[in-house]
Amino acid sequence: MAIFLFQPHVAGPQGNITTPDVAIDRVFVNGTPKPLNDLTSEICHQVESADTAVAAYAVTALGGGALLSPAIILSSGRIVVARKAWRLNNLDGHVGAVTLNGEALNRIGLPADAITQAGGDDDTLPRGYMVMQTGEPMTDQAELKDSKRDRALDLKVILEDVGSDRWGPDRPKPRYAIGPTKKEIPHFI
Amino acid sequence: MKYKAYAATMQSVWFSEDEGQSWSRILTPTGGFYNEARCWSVLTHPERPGELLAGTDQGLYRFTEEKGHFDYIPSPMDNLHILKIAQDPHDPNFIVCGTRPGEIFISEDNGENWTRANLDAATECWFINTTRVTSIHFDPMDRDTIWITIEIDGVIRSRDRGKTWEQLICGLHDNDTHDLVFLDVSGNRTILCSTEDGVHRSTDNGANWEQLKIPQAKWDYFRSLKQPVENSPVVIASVGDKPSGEAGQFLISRDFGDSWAEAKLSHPPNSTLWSIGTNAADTLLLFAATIFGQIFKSTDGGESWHKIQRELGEIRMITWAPI
Repeated sequence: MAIFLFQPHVAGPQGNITTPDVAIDRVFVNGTPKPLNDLTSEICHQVESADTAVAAYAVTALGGGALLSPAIILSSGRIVVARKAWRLNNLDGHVGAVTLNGEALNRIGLPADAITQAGGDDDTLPRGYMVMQTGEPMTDQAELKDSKRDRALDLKVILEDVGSDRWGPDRPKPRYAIGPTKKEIPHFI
Repeated sequence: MKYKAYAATMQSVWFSEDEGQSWSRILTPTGGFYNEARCWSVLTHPERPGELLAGTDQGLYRFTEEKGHFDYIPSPMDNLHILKIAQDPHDPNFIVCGTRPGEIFISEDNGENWTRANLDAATECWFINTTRVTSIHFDPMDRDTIWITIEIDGVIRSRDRGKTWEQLICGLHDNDTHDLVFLDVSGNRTILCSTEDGVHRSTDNGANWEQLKIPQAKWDYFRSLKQPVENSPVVIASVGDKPSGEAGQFLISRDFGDSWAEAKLSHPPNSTLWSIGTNAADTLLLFAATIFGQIFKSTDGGESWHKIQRELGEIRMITWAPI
Protein backbone atom coordinates (compact mmCIF):
# COMPACT_ATOMS: atom_id res chain seq x y z
CA MET A 1 0.00 0.00 0.00
CA ALA A 2 1.26 3.42 -0.91
CA ILE A 3 1.86 5.73 2.02
CA PHE A 4 2.85 9.39 2.15
CA LEU A 5 4.35 10.49 5.45
CA PHE A 6 3.14 14.03 6.07
CA GLN A 7 5.29 15.86 8.65
CA PRO A 8 3.51 19.12 9.36
CA HIS A 9 4.42 21.75 11.93
CA VAL A 10 1.08 22.65 13.43
CA ALA A 11 0.99 26.17 14.83
CA GLY A 12 -1.47 26.59 17.67
CA PRO A 13 -3.25 29.80 18.62
CA GLN A 14 -0.80 30.48 21.46
CA GLY A 15 2.23 30.09 19.19
CA ASN A 16 2.98 26.54 20.27
CA ILE A 17 4.01 24.10 17.56
CA THR A 18 3.30 20.38 17.48
CA THR A 19 4.87 17.97 15.01
CA PRO A 20 2.62 14.95 14.42
CA ASP A 21 3.67 12.61 11.62
CA VAL A 22 0.62 11.59 9.61
CA ALA A 23 0.33 8.54 7.35
CA ILE A 24 -1.69 9.57 4.29
CA ASP A 25 -3.02 6.96 1.89
CA ARG A 26 -5.70 8.84 -0.08
CA VAL A 27 -5.50 12.28 -1.63
CA PHE A 28 -8.17 14.21 -3.53
CA VAL A 29 -7.93 17.39 -5.59
CA ASN A 30 -11.22 19.22 -6.09
CA GLY A 31 -13.03 16.00 -5.23
CA THR A 32 -11.10 13.77 -7.63
CA PRO A 33 -8.84 11.03 -6.23
CA LYS A 34 -5.22 11.37 -7.31
CA PRO A 35 -2.26 8.96 -7.20
CA LEU A 36 -0.69 9.18 -3.79
CA ASN A 37 2.80 9.01 -5.29
CA ASP A 38 2.21 12.48 -6.75
CA LEU A 39 1.87 13.89 -3.23
CA THR A 40 5.01 15.46 -1.79
CA SER A 41 6.36 18.16 0.50
CA GLU A 42 9.49 18.71 -1.57
CA ILE A 43 9.83 22.33 -2.61
CA CYS A 44 12.04 21.92 -5.72
CA HIS A 45 10.45 20.50 -8.86
CA GLN A 46 11.57 19.95 -12.41
CA VAL A 47 8.83 20.96 -14.84
CA GLU A 48 8.23 21.24 -18.57
CA SER A 49 8.31 24.78 -19.84
CA ALA A 50 4.55 24.74 -20.45
CA ASP A 51 3.73 23.44 -16.98
CA THR A 52 1.75 25.66 -14.66
CA ALA A 53 1.10 25.77 -10.95
CA VAL A 54 -1.96 26.77 -9.00
CA ALA A 55 -2.34 27.60 -5.33
CA ALA A 56 -4.50 25.38 -3.19
CA TYR A 57 -5.25 24.51 0.38
CA ALA A 58 -5.06 21.03 1.88
CA VAL A 59 -7.18 19.55 4.65
CA THR A 60 -5.68 16.58 6.46
CA ALA A 61 -7.45 14.13 8.73
CA LEU A 62 -5.96 14.07 12.21
CA GLY A 63 -7.08 12.97 15.65
CA GLY A 64 -6.85 16.31 17.39
CA GLY A 65 -8.66 18.10 14.61
CA ALA A 66 -8.21 18.36 10.86
CA LEU A 67 -5.31 20.43 9.57
CA LEU A 68 -5.36 23.27 7.05
CA SER A 69 -2.18 23.78 5.01
CA PRO A 70 -1.11 25.75 1.95
CA ALA A 71 -0.53 23.63 -1.14
CA ILE A 72 0.37 23.97 -4.79
CA ILE A 73 -0.84 21.75 -7.60
CA LEU A 74 1.42 21.43 -10.63
CA SER A 75 -0.04 20.71 -14.05
CA SER A 76 2.45 17.84 -14.27
CA GLY A 77 0.34 16.17 -11.61
CA ARG A 78 2.60 16.75 -8.64
CA ILE A 79 0.74 17.81 -5.53
CA VAL A 80 2.84 19.81 -3.07
CA VAL A 81 1.67 20.28 0.49
CA ALA A 82 3.55 22.55 2.90
CA ARG A 83 4.95 21.13 6.14
CA LYS A 84 2.96 23.83 7.94
CA ALA A 85 -0.59 23.76 9.25
CA TRP A 86 -3.27 25.18 11.50
CA ARG A 87 -6.05 23.21 13.11
CA LEU A 88 -9.43 23.86 11.53
CA ASN A 89 -10.95 23.88 15.00
CA ASN A 90 -8.84 26.92 15.84
CA LEU A 91 -10.48 28.73 12.95
CA ASP A 92 -14.04 28.17 14.16
CA GLY A 93 -16.28 30.99 13.14
CA HIS A 94 -13.91 32.63 10.73
CA VAL A 95 -12.55 29.94 8.43
CA GLY A 96 -14.44 31.51 5.53
CA ALA A 97 -12.53 34.73 6.09
CA VAL A 98 -9.16 33.01 5.86
CA THR A 99 -7.62 33.90 2.52
CA LEU A 100 -5.60 31.90 0.01
CA ASN A 101 -3.42 34.31 -1.92
CA GLY A 102 -5.82 37.11 -1.00
CA GLU A 103 -9.03 35.32 -1.89
CA ALA A 104 -11.38 34.29 0.92
CA LEU A 105 -12.05 30.59 1.34
CA ASN A 106 -15.75 31.55 1.30
CA ARG A 107 -15.30 32.27 -2.40
CA ILE A 108 -12.88 29.44 -3.22
CA GLY A 109 -14.81 26.76 -1.39
CA LEU A 110 -14.99 26.01 2.31
CA PRO A 111 -12.99 23.16 3.87
CA ALA A 112 -16.24 21.68 5.17
CA ASP A 113 -17.50 21.31 1.62
CA ALA A 114 -14.26 19.64 0.50
CA ILE A 115 -14.49 17.30 3.48
CA THR A 116 -18.10 16.40 2.70
CA GLN A 117 -17.22 15.80 -0.93
CA ALA A 118 -14.60 13.28 0.20
CA GLY A 119 -17.08 11.45 2.42
CA GLY A 120 -16.26 13.21 5.65
CA ASP A 121 -18.47 15.09 8.02
CA ASP A 122 -18.17 18.74 9.05
CA ASP A 123 -14.49 19.08 10.05
CA THR A 124 -13.75 15.35 10.28
CA LEU A 125 -12.19 13.48 7.40
CA PRO A 126 -11.78 9.70 7.20
CA ARG A 127 -8.46 8.54 8.64
CA GLY A 128 -5.56 8.78 6.19
CA TYR A 129 -7.32 11.30 3.93
CA MET A 130 -6.02 14.59 2.56
CA VAL A 131 -8.26 16.75 0.39
CA MET A 132 -7.19 19.73 -1.70
CA GLN A 133 -9.16 22.67 -3.00
CA THR A 134 -7.54 24.81 -5.68
CA GLY A 135 -7.76 28.57 -5.89
CA GLU A 136 -6.63 31.16 -8.37
CA PRO A 137 -4.53 32.59 -9.87
CA MET A 138 -1.69 30.48 -11.32
CA THR A 139 1.30 30.88 -9.08
CA ASP A 140 4.27 29.15 -7.53
CA GLN A 141 3.39 30.52 -4.11
CA ALA A 142 0.50 29.82 -1.80
CA GLU A 143 -0.23 31.84 1.32
CA LEU A 144 -2.98 31.23 3.81
CA LYS A 145 -3.66 34.33 5.88
CA ASP A 146 -5.69 34.42 9.08
CA SER A 147 -6.29 38.12 9.62
CA LYS A 148 -8.26 37.54 12.82
CA ARG A 149 -5.21 36.05 14.50
CA ASP A 150 -2.71 38.01 12.41
CA ARG A 151 -0.82 34.98 11.19
CA ALA A 152 0.05 33.36 7.88
CA LEU A 153 1.33 30.09 6.44
CA ASP A 154 3.15 30.06 3.13
CA LEU A 155 4.53 27.62 0.60
CA LYS A 156 6.89 28.56 -2.17
CA VAL A 157 7.99 26.01 -4.74
CA ILE A 158 11.04 26.30 -6.96
CA LEU A 159 10.28 25.27 -10.52
CA GLU A 160 13.27 24.25 -12.59
CA ASP A 161 13.10 23.72 -16.34
CA VAL A 162 13.49 20.00 -16.96
CA GLY A 163 15.43 20.72 -20.14
CA SER A 164 18.12 22.88 -18.60
CA ASP A 165 21.30 21.69 -16.90
CA ARG A 166 22.37 24.38 -14.47
CA TRP A 167 25.94 23.14 -14.50
CA GLY A 168 26.22 22.10 -18.14
CA PRO A 169 29.79 21.26 -19.13
CA ASP A 170 30.95 22.14 -15.61
CA ARG A 171 29.10 19.17 -14.15
CA PRO A 172 31.79 16.82 -12.81
CA LYS A 173 32.00 13.10 -13.39
CA PRO A 174 31.16 10.93 -10.40
CA ARG A 175 34.23 10.08 -8.37
CA TYR A 176 35.02 7.08 -6.22
CA ALA A 177 36.84 7.29 -2.91
CA ILE A 178 38.61 4.38 -1.30
CA GLY A 179 38.67 5.42 2.29
CA PRO A 180 41.43 4.78 4.82
CA THR A 181 44.68 4.16 3.03
CA LYS A 182 46.92 2.94 5.83
CA LYS A 183 46.93 -0.50 4.32
CA GLU A 184 45.98 -2.23 1.09
CA ILE A 185 42.32 -3.07 1.01
CA PRO A 186 40.16 -5.12 -1.35
CA HIS A 187 37.54 -3.28 -3.38
CA PHE A 188 34.24 -5.04 -3.60
CA ILE A 189 33.02 -3.27 -6.71
CA MET B 1 27.27 35.83 31.88
CA LYS B 2 24.13 33.79 31.31
CA TYR B 3 24.55 31.13 28.68
CA LYS B 4 23.02 27.99 27.28
CA ALA B 5 24.76 24.84 26.20
CA TYR B 6 23.37 22.82 23.31
CA ALA B 7 23.94 19.17 22.39
CA ALA B 8 22.99 17.64 19.05
CA THR B 9 22.11 14.01 19.67
CA MET B 10 20.39 11.08 18.07
CA GLN B 11 17.42 12.06 20.23
CA SER B 12 17.04 15.67 19.13
CA VAL B 13 18.60 18.78 20.70
CA TRP B 14 19.27 19.03 24.42
CA PHE B 15 19.54 22.35 26.24
CA SER B 16 21.32 23.19 29.49
CA GLU B 17 20.56 26.44 31.27
CA ASP B 18 22.60 25.73 34.41
CA GLU B 19 26.15 25.60 33.10
CA GLY B 20 25.82 22.01 31.92
CA GLN B 21 24.63 20.38 35.13
CA SER B 22 21.19 19.42 33.89
CA TRP B 23 19.90 18.94 30.37
CA SER B 24 16.43 18.82 28.86
CA ARG B 25 14.73 18.77 25.51
CA ILE B 26 12.11 21.16 24.26
CA LEU B 27 8.59 20.04 25.14
CA THR B 28 7.08 18.02 22.32
CA PRO B 29 3.56 19.58 22.52
CA THR B 30 4.94 23.08 22.10
CA GLY B 31 8.47 22.92 20.76
CA GLY B 32 8.13 22.27 17.05
CA PHE B 33 10.68 19.48 17.11
CA TYR B 34 10.26 15.72 17.21
CA ASN B 35 12.20 14.69 20.27
CA GLU B 36 13.61 11.59 18.66
CA ALA B 37 14.75 13.34 15.49
CA ARG B 38 18.36 12.59 14.72
CA CYS B 39 20.30 15.82 15.06
CA TRP B 40 23.91 16.12 13.95
CA SER B 41 24.64 19.83 14.12
CA VAL B 42 23.85 22.86 16.24
CA LEU B 43 25.09 26.35 15.48
CA THR B 44 24.92 29.79 17.08
CA HIS B 45 26.09 33.15 15.74
CA PRO B 46 27.32 36.07 17.84
CA GLU B 47 25.08 38.50 15.95
CA ARG B 48 22.00 36.36 16.68
CA PRO B 49 21.88 35.82 20.46
CA GLY B 50 19.26 33.29 21.44
CA GLU B 51 19.10 31.77 17.97
CA LEU B 52 20.13 28.18 17.25
CA LEU B 53 20.20 26.39 13.92
CA ALA B 54 19.84 22.62 14.03
CA GLY B 55 20.51 20.12 11.23
CA THR B 56 18.55 16.89 11.40
CA ASP B 57 17.24 13.95 9.41
CA GLN B 58 13.96 15.84 8.94
CA GLY B 59 15.26 19.16 7.72
CA LEU B 60 16.76 22.36 9.01
CA TYR B 61 15.35 24.09 12.08
CA ARG B 62 15.73 27.44 13.80
CA PHE B 63 15.15 27.90 17.54
CA THR B 64 14.80 31.35 19.03
CA GLU B 65 14.58 32.31 22.68
CA GLU B 66 11.94 34.88 21.77
CA LYS B 67 9.53 32.27 20.39
CA GLY B 68 10.66 29.44 22.65
CA HIS B 69 10.23 26.87 19.90
CA PHE B 70 11.82 25.54 16.74
CA ASP B 71 10.61 26.71 13.34
CA TYR B 72 11.05 24.42 10.37
CA ILE B 73 13.03 26.01 7.51
CA PRO B 74 11.90 24.65 4.13
CA SER B 75 14.86 23.56 2.03
CA PRO B 76 15.88 20.92 -0.51
CA MET B 77 17.60 19.03 2.32
CA ASP B 78 14.56 17.49 4.01
CA ASN B 79 15.39 14.01 2.78
CA LEU B 80 19.12 14.26 3.47
CA HIS B 81 21.06 14.21 6.70
CA ILE B 82 22.18 17.73 7.57
CA LEU B 83 25.48 17.00 9.26
CA LYS B 84 27.13 20.42 9.44
CA ILE B 85 26.00 24.05 9.35
CA ALA B 86 28.11 27.19 9.11
CA GLN B 87 27.21 30.88 9.00
CA ASP B 88 29.42 33.60 7.59
CA PRO B 89 30.94 35.29 10.65
CA HIS B 90 30.27 38.66 9.00
CA ASP B 91 26.80 37.85 7.66
CA PRO B 92 24.57 35.36 9.51
CA ASN B 93 22.16 35.38 6.55
CA PHE B 94 24.77 33.47 4.55
CA ILE B 95 24.33 29.84 5.61
CA VAL B 96 26.21 26.80 4.33
CA CYS B 97 25.00 23.28 5.07
CA GLY B 98 26.84 20.02 4.51
CA THR B 99 25.00 16.76 4.18
CA ARG B 100 25.16 13.02 3.74
CA PRO B 101 25.55 12.24 0.84
CA GLY B 102 28.44 14.70 0.60
CA GLU B 103 26.75 17.79 -0.80
CA ILE B 104 26.83 21.47 0.01
CA PHE B 105 23.76 23.73 0.05
CA ILE B 106 24.02 27.51 0.35
CA SER B 107 21.49 30.16 1.31
CA GLU B 108 22.34 33.86 0.99
CA ASP B 109 19.07 35.06 2.48
CA ASN B 110 18.81 33.44 5.90
CA GLY B 111 17.33 30.19 4.60
CA GLU B 112 14.64 31.59 2.30
CA ASN B 113 16.27 30.21 -0.87
CA TRP B 114 18.87 27.49 -1.35
CA THR B 115 21.38 26.57 -4.02
CA ARG B 116 23.06 23.20 -4.30
CA ALA B 117 26.76 23.74 -4.90
CA ASN B 118 28.44 22.10 -7.87
CA LEU B 119 30.67 20.09 -5.57
CA ASP B 120 33.02 17.59 -7.13
CA ALA B 121 33.11 15.36 -4.09
CA ALA B 122 33.29 11.59 -4.36
CA THR B 123 29.84 10.12 -4.86
CA GLU B 124 30.77 6.68 -3.58
CA CYS B 125 33.24 5.47 -1.01
CA TRP B 126 34.37 1.90 -0.57
CA PHE B 127 34.82 2.18 3.17
CA ILE B 128 31.65 4.03 4.18
CA ASN B 129 29.63 3.66 0.96
CA THR B 130 28.32 7.23 1.17
CA THR B 131 30.46 10.30 1.74
CA ARG B 132 29.53 12.97 4.27
CA VAL B 133 30.58 16.49 5.17
CA THR B 134 32.43 16.61 8.47
CA SER B 135 33.24 20.33 8.80
CA ILE B 136 32.65 23.69 7.12
CA HIS B 137 34.82 26.76 7.69
CA PHE B 138 34.72 30.34 6.47
CA ASP B 139 38.28 31.41 5.79
CA PRO B 140 39.37 33.74 8.59
CA MET B 141 41.21 36.05 6.16
CA ASP B 142 39.28 35.83 2.91
CA ARG B 143 35.51 36.23 3.06
CA ASP B 144 35.01 34.57 -0.34
CA THR B 145 36.78 31.35 0.63
CA ILE B 146 35.00 28.39 2.20
CA TRP B 147 36.75 25.21 3.32
CA ILE B 148 35.14 21.85 3.93
CA THR B 149 36.30 18.43 5.01
CA ILE B 150 34.61 15.34 3.64
CA GLU B 151 34.65 11.84 4.99
CA ILE B 152 36.15 10.25 3.01
CA ASP B 153 37.33 12.65 0.32
CA GLY B 154 39.86 15.02 1.80
CA VAL B 155 39.87 18.80 1.99
CA ILE B 156 37.87 20.83 -0.51
CA ARG B 157 37.99 24.61 -0.96
CA SER B 158 35.94 27.23 -2.75
CA ARG B 159 37.41 30.67 -3.43
CA ASP B 160 34.16 32.15 -4.76
CA ARG B 161 31.67 31.56 -1.94
CA GLY B 162 30.69 28.10 -3.10
CA LYS B 163 30.39 28.50 -6.85
CA THR B 164 33.44 26.39 -7.73
CA TRP B 165 35.47 23.94 -5.65
CA GLU B 166 38.90 22.29 -5.71
CA GLN B 167 40.16 19.24 -3.85
CA LEU B 168 43.35 19.66 -1.80
CA ILE B 169 44.75 16.27 -0.82
CA CYS B 170 48.42 16.32 -1.84
CA GLY B 171 50.37 14.73 1.00
CA LEU B 172 47.39 13.62 3.09
CA HIS B 173 48.06 10.12 4.39
CA ASP B 174 44.33 9.64 4.68
CA ASN B 175 41.39 11.42 3.04
CA ASP B 176 39.18 10.63 6.04
CA THR B 177 39.25 14.27 7.11
CA HIS B 178 37.36 15.70 10.06
CA ASP B 179 38.23 19.28 10.98
CA LEU B 180 40.47 22.28 10.22
CA VAL B 181 42.03 25.16 12.16
CA PHE B 182 43.90 28.16 10.74
CA LEU B 183 46.75 30.34 12.00
CA ASP B 184 47.74 33.49 10.11
CA VAL B 185 50.84 35.31 11.33
CA SER B 186 52.54 38.11 9.36
CA GLY B 187 51.14 36.87 6.07
CA ASN B 188 52.16 33.28 6.71
CA ARG B 189 49.42 30.72 7.04
CA THR B 190 49.45 27.32 8.71
CA ILE B 191 46.47 24.96 8.57
CA LEU B 192 45.98 21.84 10.65
CA CYS B 193 43.66 19.08 9.49
CA SER B 194 42.48 16.23 11.70
CA THR B 195 42.06 12.87 10.04
CA GLU B 196 41.54 9.23 10.81
CA ASP B 197 45.32 8.98 10.59
CA GLY B 198 46.53 11.79 12.79
CA VAL B 199 46.92 15.51 12.21
CA HIS B 200 48.25 16.97 8.96
CA ARG B 201 49.75 20.42 8.49
CA SER B 202 49.88 22.69 5.46
CA THR B 203 52.02 25.79 5.19
CA ASP B 204 51.02 26.63 1.62
CA ASN B 205 47.29 27.23 2.06
CA GLY B 206 46.29 23.61 1.55
CA ALA B 207 48.29 22.82 -1.57
CA ASN B 208 50.45 20.29 0.29
CA TRP B 209 50.04 18.47 3.58
CA GLU B 210 52.47 16.71 5.89
CA GLN B 211 51.56 14.32 8.67
CA LEU B 212 52.60 15.45 12.15
CA LYS B 213 54.31 13.12 14.57
CA ILE B 214 52.39 13.25 17.83
CA PRO B 215 53.86 10.71 20.26
CA GLN B 216 51.50 11.86 23.00
CA ALA B 217 48.55 10.57 20.99
CA LYS B 218 47.45 7.16 22.19
CA TRP B 219 45.56 6.62 18.96
CA ASP B 220 45.58 7.90 15.38
CA TYR B 221 41.92 8.87 15.20
CA PHE B 222 41.71 12.67 15.57
CA ARG B 223 38.27 14.20 15.37
CA SER B 224 37.66 17.80 16.50
CA LEU B 225 40.22 20.61 16.40
CA LYS B 226 39.40 23.87 18.16
CA GLN B 227 41.15 27.15 18.92
CA PRO B 228 39.53 28.66 22.01
CA VAL B 229 40.97 32.01 20.90
CA GLU B 230 40.63 32.87 17.23
CA ASN B 231 43.93 32.87 15.31
CA SER B 232 45.76 31.63 18.39
CA PRO B 233 48.50 28.98 18.36
CA VAL B 234 46.65 27.11 21.11
CA VAL B 235 44.75 24.16 19.69
CA ILE B 236 42.69 21.50 21.46
CA ALA B 237 42.34 18.15 19.70
CA SER B 238 39.88 15.39 20.49
CA VAL B 239 41.13 11.87 19.96
CA GLY B 240 39.75 8.36 20.20
CA ASP B 241 40.66 4.74 19.58
CA LYS B 242 38.31 4.56 16.59
CA PRO B 243 34.80 5.59 15.54
CA SER B 244 32.81 5.20 17.70
CA GLY B 245 35.42 3.71 19.94
CA GLU B 246 35.80 2.84 23.59
CA ALA B 247 38.35 5.40 24.78
CA GLY B 248 39.59 8.89 24.12
CA GLN B 249 41.86 11.74 25.14
CA PHE B 250 42.31 15.47 24.72
CA LEU B 251 45.58 16.83 23.41
CA ILE B 252 46.53 20.46 23.65
CA SER B 253 49.16 22.24 21.56
CA ARG B 254 50.36 25.71 22.47
CA ASP B 255 52.50 26.11 19.36
CA PHE B 256 49.98 25.16 16.67
CA GLY B 257 50.92 21.56 16.33
CA ASP B 258 54.68 21.54 16.91
CA SER B 259 54.29 19.95 20.32
CA TRP B 260 51.38 18.44 22.20
CA ALA B 261 50.51 17.56 25.76
CA GLU B 262 47.68 15.51 27.16
CA ALA B 263 44.97 17.48 28.92
CA LYS B 264 43.72 16.33 32.31
CA LEU B 265 40.42 14.46 32.38
CA SER B 266 38.45 13.83 35.57
CA HIS B 267 37.09 10.55 34.19
CA PRO B 268 38.13 8.20 31.39
CA PRO B 269 36.07 8.79 28.24
CA ASN B 270 33.74 5.95 27.30
CA SER B 271 34.32 6.43 23.56
CA THR B 272 36.02 8.77 21.12
CA LEU B 273 35.90 12.45 22.13
CA TRP B 274 33.85 13.67 19.20
CA SER B 275 33.03 17.35 19.54
CA ILE B 276 34.44 20.42 21.27
CA GLY B 277 32.36 23.56 21.71
CA THR B 278 33.95 26.98 22.11
CA ASN B 279 32.67 30.54 22.12
CA ALA B 280 34.62 33.80 21.88
CA ALA B 281 32.45 35.25 24.64
CA ASP B 282 34.53 33.27 27.16
CA THR B 283 37.62 31.65 25.74
CA LEU B 284 38.24 29.68 28.95
CA LEU B 285 34.88 27.94 28.88
CA LEU B 286 34.67 24.84 26.70
CA PHE B 287 32.27 21.93 26.47
CA ALA B 288 33.09 18.62 24.87
CA ALA B 289 31.33 15.32 24.32
CA THR B 290 32.13 11.74 23.59
CA ILE B 291 30.09 10.19 20.84
CA PHE B 292 28.48 7.90 23.43
CA GLY B 293 27.05 10.60 25.58
CA GLN B 294 29.57 11.82 28.13
CA ILE B 295 29.87 15.58 28.55
CA PHE B 296 33.06 17.26 29.74
CA LYS B 297 33.50 20.90 30.70
CA SER B 298 36.64 22.98 30.96
CA THR B 299 36.91 26.37 32.61
CA ASP B 300 40.62 26.82 31.99
CA GLY B 301 40.75 26.90 28.22
CA GLY B 302 40.98 23.15 27.76
CA GLU B 303 43.90 22.41 30.10
CA SER B 304 41.68 20.29 32.35
CA TRP B 305 38.24 18.77 31.92
CA HIS B 306 35.60 17.78 34.43
CA LYS B 307 32.99 15.21 33.50
CA ILE B 308 29.42 16.29 34.08
CA GLN B 309 27.37 13.65 35.86
CA ARG B 310 24.50 13.78 33.37
CA GLU B 311 25.03 11.70 30.27
CA LEU B 312 22.98 11.80 27.10
CA GLY B 313 22.62 9.26 24.31
CA GLU B 314 24.72 9.50 21.21
CA ILE B 315 26.12 13.04 20.96
CA ARG B 316 27.30 14.35 17.60
CA MET B 317 28.00 17.98 18.46
CA ILE B 318 28.09 20.24 21.49
CA THR B 319 28.34 24.00 21.75
CA TRP B 320 27.37 26.91 23.95
CA ALA B 321 26.47 30.58 23.58
CA PRO B 322 25.50 33.57 25.71
CA ILE B 323 21.78 34.32 25.78
